[in-house]
Amino acid sequence: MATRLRKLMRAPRKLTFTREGKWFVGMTIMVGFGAVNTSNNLLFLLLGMMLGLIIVSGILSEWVLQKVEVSRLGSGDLYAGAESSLTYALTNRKAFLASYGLVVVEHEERVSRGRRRRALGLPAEPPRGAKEREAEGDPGSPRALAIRVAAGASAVAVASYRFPRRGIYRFDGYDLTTRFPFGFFEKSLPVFAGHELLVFPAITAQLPAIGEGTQTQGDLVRQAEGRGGDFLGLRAYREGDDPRQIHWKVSARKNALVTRLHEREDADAVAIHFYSHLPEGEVALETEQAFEQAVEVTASLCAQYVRSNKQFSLHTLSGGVTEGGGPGHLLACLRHLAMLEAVRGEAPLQMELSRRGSRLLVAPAWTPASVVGQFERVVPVEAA
Amino acid sequence: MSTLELRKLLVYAMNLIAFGTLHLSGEMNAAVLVLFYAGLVLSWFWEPPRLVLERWRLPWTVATLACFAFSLADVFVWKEFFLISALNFVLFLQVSKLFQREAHKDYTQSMALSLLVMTSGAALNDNLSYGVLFALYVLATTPSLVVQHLVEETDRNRLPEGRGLRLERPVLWVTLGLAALVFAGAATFFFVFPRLGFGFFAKQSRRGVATAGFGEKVELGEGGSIGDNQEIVMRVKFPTPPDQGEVATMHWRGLSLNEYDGRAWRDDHNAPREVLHFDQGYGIGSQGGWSETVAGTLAAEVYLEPMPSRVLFAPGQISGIELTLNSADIPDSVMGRRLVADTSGQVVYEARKELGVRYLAHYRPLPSGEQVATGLRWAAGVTDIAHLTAGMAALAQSPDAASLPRQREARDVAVRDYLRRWNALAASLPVPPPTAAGLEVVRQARLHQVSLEEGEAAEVWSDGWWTLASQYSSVPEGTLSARTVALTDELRRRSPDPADYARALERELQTRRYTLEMKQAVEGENVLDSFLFEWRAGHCEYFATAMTMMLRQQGIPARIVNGFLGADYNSVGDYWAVRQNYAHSWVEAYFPGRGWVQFDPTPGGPTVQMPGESIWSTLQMGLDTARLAWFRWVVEYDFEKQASLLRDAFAQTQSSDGTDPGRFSDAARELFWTILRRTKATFWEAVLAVVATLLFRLRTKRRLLWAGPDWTIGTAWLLLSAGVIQSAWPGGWSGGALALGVGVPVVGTFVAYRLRRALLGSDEPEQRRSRPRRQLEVSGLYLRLLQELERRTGTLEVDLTSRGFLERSSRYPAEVVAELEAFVAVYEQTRFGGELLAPAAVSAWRRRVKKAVKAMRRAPPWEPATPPKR
Repeated sequence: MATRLRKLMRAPRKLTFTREGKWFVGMTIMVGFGAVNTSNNLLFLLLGMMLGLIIVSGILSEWVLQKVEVSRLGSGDLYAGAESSLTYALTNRKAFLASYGLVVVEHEERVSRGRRRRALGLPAEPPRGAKEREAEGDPGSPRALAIRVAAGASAVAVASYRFPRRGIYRFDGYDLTTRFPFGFFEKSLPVFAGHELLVFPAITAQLPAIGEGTQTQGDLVRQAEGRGGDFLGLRAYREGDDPRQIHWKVSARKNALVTRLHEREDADAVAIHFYSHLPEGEVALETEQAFEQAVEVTASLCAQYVRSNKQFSLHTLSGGVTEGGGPGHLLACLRHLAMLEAVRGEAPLQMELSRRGSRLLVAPAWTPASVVGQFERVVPVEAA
Repeated sequence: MSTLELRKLLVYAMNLIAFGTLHLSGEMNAAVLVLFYAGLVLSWFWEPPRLVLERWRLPWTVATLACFAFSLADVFVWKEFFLISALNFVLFLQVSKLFQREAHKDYTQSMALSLLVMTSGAALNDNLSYGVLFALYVLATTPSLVVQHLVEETDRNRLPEGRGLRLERPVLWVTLGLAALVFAGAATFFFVFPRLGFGFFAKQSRRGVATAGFGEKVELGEGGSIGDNQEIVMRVKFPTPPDQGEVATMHWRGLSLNEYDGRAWRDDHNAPREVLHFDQGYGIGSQGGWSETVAGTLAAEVYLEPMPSRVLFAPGQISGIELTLNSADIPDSVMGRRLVADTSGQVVYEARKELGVRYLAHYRPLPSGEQVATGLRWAAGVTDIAHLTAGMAALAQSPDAASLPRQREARDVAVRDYLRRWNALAASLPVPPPTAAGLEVVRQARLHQVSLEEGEAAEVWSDGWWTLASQYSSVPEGTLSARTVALTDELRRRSPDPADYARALERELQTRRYTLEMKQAVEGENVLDSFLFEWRAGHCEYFATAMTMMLRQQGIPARIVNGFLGADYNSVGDYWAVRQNYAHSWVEAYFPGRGWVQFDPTPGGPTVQMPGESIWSTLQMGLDTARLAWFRWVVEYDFEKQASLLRDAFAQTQSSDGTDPGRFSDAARELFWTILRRTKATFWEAVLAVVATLLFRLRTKRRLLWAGPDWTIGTAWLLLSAGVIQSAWPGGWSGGALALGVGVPVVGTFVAYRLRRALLGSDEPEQRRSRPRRQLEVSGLYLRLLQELERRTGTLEVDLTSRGFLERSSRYPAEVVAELEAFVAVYEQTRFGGELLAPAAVSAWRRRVKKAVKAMRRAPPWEPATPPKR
């Protein structure tokens, strides 16, 4: 008994009044005042009901949170700006009592939250009141609701969420909260379980027109990965690659999967270059947005080339992805773009140009002319 | 029913119930009632997509402002009661909110308004109806709040596209369970919360009964308002059960009135009587301790409804009062109450709270005129006091002397001397003196306004008769007409003995007729004369007034007593109920040596009703018992009762030695056994029904839930209901009882089933409900084939697919295999392809599968399967 009590006491609980709860408690106080003053027993009866509602609310919300375990399930590929689903499995370890109205609220790490809010054009630190937060249009952290988790069973809760910008989203943990049964109080049980989500840049359907560059097509070296041609080389195995092309000997030697690359006979390779540069110092939000737009354009180009079954490589100021094709290649490119940090410095920075395929440049407005001049085709990205 | 529809229904129920408390208070204007109900019905349909609520926002704002202005004018200009005016405005807001249900908060606000109305209802309606509606309100509020919370939560947490809120049945059951929890919590808080009212604005009170026919002033010609009001004014239990006939003639003595001004009676007693507070109770005019006070008395436990008059009733002269929740160690000043008594025997309970009073009255029944006349008659001729009468007559013949102080003084001396001698004579007698001469003295003394001091009178009249006589002998001039006096003289001539005279007068008056439809007396008309000789009919006050005046006219001290006559027996609560229309007036006359004697000149039999023969009266009795419990344990629950409960609880814990465990627990135990005794067979029938149901359910491993029209549950209900009707039906079985016993459960089952369907949807599993029966039958045919294959092969995999089934059946003859393939194709189409077979096709397949099964059985035994080559 004492152990159970200790356990109960140990678990920290956060209890806050909801707006309805504040009103209800206020009304209870008023009815109580009236009852005590007038000695009207029917008012005492009403007071009893209201206090009963409050007590039942307190006890039930505790029961609801007891012995509930939460585990995050795979959330699939997440794209900025798109409706994503974060899935949680809630397991009720209680023998008899079901849990109702459970909400998992992710705890954003401070920097991560600041970046997200910056993407929404909001100050880094959110206001204290939920009302103010709602007013400024901040959707807050992902929240997943499970209406009922039966005793000894599990239920899946899905948070529908739209990440405003690509990148890594870090969460310190989550709050298992409930307002059950009446929505007067919110009781939270904070759980510290760090977690990261990688959000790919949005893939837009419409791409800007691709302009002509200065170089001629004759300079192109038409070597590309393919199926039927000569051996082209080796590279690390990526998700989506044909398992039959794994070079087992080399893989065994390197202790990592390595896949064979073959030269494609009709190769029409493209080398996508993205001038991932931002001026030194404080940058305007518009500039940042333009940069993000350029990232999205780059990601969309990658997707388009995969759709049209073309080989391409990706080059940015922070590195790139070697030439390839197919969904696995696209994932590698998106992962690179999702984590891409702008290189800060005094322009112009020179890009390392690809020696293979036709060179294409995604050029934000501030891309120096000297850089643009090196490309056959240019995708200009204007500030939004 | 969708979740949103359920929320709407529950919120409407809350509003309707809350308004019901106001409606049943009887305080609301009929127009308000009609408008509210009409608004409620209309608003149900007033919602998108029928109309755009946005467009109606301005008109509603204007209407709200207008209503507010009207309410202000109502209070400040037309001086209406503030609470009612404010309530009218709140009701308007309530309706307008129902007309503007757009967002979640509108529903929340509507709930809050209903709570406000419930609170107002607590001030206006303290009847049992409030209790019933309160229970319903809890039942509606709890699920409303839960559903509202879940709906809001779903919106707040942005469920993914296509995922709406769907409340499963367990959630709904949980909400009902919560309602029970909340109700239990409310009850606990109600009883535990300390009742230390500060009373800044009001004191604890409840509406009493407005007693027509009973009051501190009785006016002739106005008593006809008794009417047929059957409201109960008091409920009585006798520790020693009396005979029914005895209760029928029981006169519940309340007020006694002594001063009559020719039109109305009033109470002019100004001699208070000492009330002693003993540990056990209050002694009225007590000379010794509590045991002496209550020695030889009878007892009646009375619960008196609050009335304008706070007089306590008992069927006789009250000697002692025990307040049944009396906390002896708490001073009366703290409890804010006291008892006041006067020489007329009336006892008034004065309290800070306007609540009902529960007390145990120790009383001595007054002898009736009949009893006294018999006792006195034997002594009538013992004494010759003619000379005294003659002396007094001589004194009376000098009226002029009264105007001169000296002569008056001389006359007073003479009267005193006369009384002294009369008293000496009386003292010398072996028996109490005959009253004729003495009464004549009093009559003459009153006639000549001899002002004797009470002390002087007490000297000569040891029993304080003089005091009584001086208070109860006045006959206002012109009250009795000449022919009335002649009638009294004639009666007196025939019955010289005062007691005989009183009896004769009583009988004479009883020859008149009792009526409530009185003629209106014209200005200057002698009402008593008209009553006695012209109308020859009247209600009790006419009879009582006439007799009192005619007794006084003959020198017999008399007074009118106001109270109630008779009672109805409530067999459910085992108590007697005294109703308002039993209000009555009668007469008490004083006879030396016998004290006050009761006469009732009003014709008509005793008022008593035994339990009715109909189920309706049983219900009414049950309702009244519930009402009594409601008032005692809810409306009038106070600090005193809390203290009493606490004391009982302590007594309970300290009674391991078998002593009295306390009244509350006793009462609870008694109630339990009473219920058990009353239900008798029903109880065992119910037990049998429940056990049978449980066994059936356990055997069939089905859930113990009300799952549609189930025969087992139906039979159990039938048994139970029939038993209940049987025990409640007065006079045993009859056709009506049988019809009700069978009809109620059948109709109840049907209604419950329909309601359940409407609220919760079908009980059938989702999978089964979504597929028609024909589809299920195809699956059943497939199962038959599987069973047949299993019979042949000995075992089958649990996860055998239909293709696997065909594979395993390939060793049957070709025609059988072809038939099986054809059927499996159909099965797959219906089971997984969503195709629905026509009834004829199902019948055809039923026949074909039957043939196929036969063919499978006839098929030659299979060769042992050869192991596959590697």
